[in-house]
Amino acid sequence: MVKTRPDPIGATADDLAAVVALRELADRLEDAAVERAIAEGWSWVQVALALGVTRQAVHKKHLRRLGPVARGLRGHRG
Amino acid sequence: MADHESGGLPGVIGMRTLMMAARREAIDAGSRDVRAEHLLLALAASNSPAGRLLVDAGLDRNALQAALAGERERSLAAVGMPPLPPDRLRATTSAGTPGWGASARDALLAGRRQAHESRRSAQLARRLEQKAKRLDQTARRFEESARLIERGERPGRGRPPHGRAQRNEQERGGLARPGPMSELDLLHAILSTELGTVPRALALAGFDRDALLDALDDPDGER
Repeated sequence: MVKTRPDPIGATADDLAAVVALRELADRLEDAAVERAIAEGWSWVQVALALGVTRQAVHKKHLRRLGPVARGLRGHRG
Repeated sequence: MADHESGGLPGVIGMRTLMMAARREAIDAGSRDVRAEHLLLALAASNSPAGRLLVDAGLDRNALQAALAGERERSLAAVGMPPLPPDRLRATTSAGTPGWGASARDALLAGRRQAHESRRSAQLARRLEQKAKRLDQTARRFEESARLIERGERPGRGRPPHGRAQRNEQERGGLARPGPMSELDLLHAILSTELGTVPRALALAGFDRDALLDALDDPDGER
């Protein structure tokens, strides 16, 4: 088989790079959107339902960084 | 600061500082893992020979960041995704400390190999130089003897008594051992990668990777 030397900016490389960029975009959008939801008073269960994942999964990913935001909200409500 | 920290063990401490800077770049970019482009950004911002080489080529941190943003935009456009307004992506805190992604790991491993290789070729050059020096000495001794014979005197006096022992001492340079890599080794490794975000960003922004590698291999370029 002939070894090809793929073009790093060819059409195929573009599609593969799009996968990388979309994944990164999804990660960043998740961070931003979950943060906004929690700040607006959504519960972890509601966020998990909206994301279609378990509550544990959301906790594992976001509780540590957004814990203070969520606790602050609870404090506000008394 | 980096200079102070790297006093004594430039390879090791310098690299640790650089890896911390790369992690910082990843955090600032909101990335879940540290990738080759974050190492490259840290290199471009570093006060090191590698950093100066990049800046001289027009690739300071800002230029590099613009190139990376251009690559991202083009990749998303390839699947019909327009850029999102930045405030939709704003998060006050990132999700934990980013781990080391595959491209960064590969770059660090290849950098270590590169360090091994450059050390070996430096040793080879040193050994060849020693050999040339010995040949030169031998030639001079022969000339001296010839001159003495011409004058009718007996040669063979001023010969060093333990030339061989001395030579063995010099030649015992040992095999090249994998040692600490330098920023230049890491830069070489990153620029040698032919596919992925970094080569795409450089190509799309009009930077010639091969020319950068040539500048890196050029001994005059080592400052």
